[in-house]
Amino acid sequence: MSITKTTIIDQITVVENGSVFYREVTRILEDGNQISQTFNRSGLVPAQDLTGVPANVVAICNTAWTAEVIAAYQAAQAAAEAARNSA
Amino acid sequence: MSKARTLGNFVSAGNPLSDGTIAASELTGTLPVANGGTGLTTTPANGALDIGNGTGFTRTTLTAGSNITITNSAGGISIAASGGGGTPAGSTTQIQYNNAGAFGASSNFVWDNTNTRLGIGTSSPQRTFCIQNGGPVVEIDPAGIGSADPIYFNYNRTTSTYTTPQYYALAHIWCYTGGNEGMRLNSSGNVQLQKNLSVGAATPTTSGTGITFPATQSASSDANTLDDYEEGTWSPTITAQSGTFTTVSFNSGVYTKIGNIVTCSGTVEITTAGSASGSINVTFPFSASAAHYSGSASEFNAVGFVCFVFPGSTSAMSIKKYDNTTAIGSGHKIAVSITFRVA
Repeated sequence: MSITKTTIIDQITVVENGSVFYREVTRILEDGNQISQTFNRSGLVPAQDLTGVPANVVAICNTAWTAEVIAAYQAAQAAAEAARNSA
Repeated sequence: MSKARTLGNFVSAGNPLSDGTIAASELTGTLPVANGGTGLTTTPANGALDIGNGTGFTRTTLTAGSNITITNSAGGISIAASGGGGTPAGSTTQIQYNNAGAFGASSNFVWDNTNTRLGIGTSSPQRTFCIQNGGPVVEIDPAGIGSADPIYFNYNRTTSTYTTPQYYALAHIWCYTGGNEGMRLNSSGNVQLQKNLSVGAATPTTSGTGITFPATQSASSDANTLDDYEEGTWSPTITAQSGTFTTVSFNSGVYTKIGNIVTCSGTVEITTAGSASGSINVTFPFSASAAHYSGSASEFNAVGFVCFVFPGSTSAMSIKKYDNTTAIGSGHKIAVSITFRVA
């Protein structure tokens, strides 16, 4: 009987504002048969630091986060902050 | 040269005593029974017999009784059995079947007339219909009947309705696997599972019991359909509105997604604030459907104050102190919880 543990990124989602969400799944296998599975989810917004982020997610971010996407996201954030402060 | 002779009704054109042949034209009248004749004048039909009737003969054909077939032909009669009769094979209670043209029977195919039980694979059925076998005993192959359901329970074909059985209180349907009950449809119409239920071809969980959904949601547009469940840990990215944290982490982050609703919680722990200022931005585990949500947060370690959570975007929430000043500070631990609808 052999127990193995694998961790992979099984979902990467890019949404309209350029944010990237990904799911990391950790599977415990016994003789190749899955006996448990756990998830960990993270989100990344345009232009944020990608240190420690899995390479395949970084690749997606670098593709999705064009200068236009980053500018639009930051503008939206600033607008939301301004609207809240003026309320 | 022959010469005609007359003797009573007997007229001979030649000499029948010498030539041995009596032609039809040489004989008139009817030879009576008393003189060795039949006393009959009719032409016999195919298969007709002359049968004595006490005074003479009746010319008739045979009449078939039960399980007999008689075929009359010119000069012949064929008599054959057409079913029934014979000596049963096997022993008492064994049902007869056609075994290559003869009666056959088996101790594994019986009718217990005393208890009105039919047995297949057993010589002593214990129920009205009893099937026993070492392997699969019933095969239901719906092929050939289109999409029709292969099995009907308590179905009235005349009214096309399902009726409540008289033994309603006992009307459970059990499914066993490996000698253990797996599923039951009880008399109240409830389905009871002993283990797990999976949908969307998901692999049922091997730990505990519950409903397993596919790892990747198969979203339903039906408003009354629960189409997803997922739980896990949450590792958001923590950033400040301005500047950067020197040391910040997020601990005890968890999320649960039920249908299209996500609830997540965790704690922002600011060890060293660095140049960070303004609001604290925390990314979600899923994208929100709209930037209209609210949650709760409070600093519980260094100072102790209530925070408010406000929509930063559909991807992240923002946190500030209750008075709209920054909640950032070294040593601050801010517990946060939020529920929102996913995109």
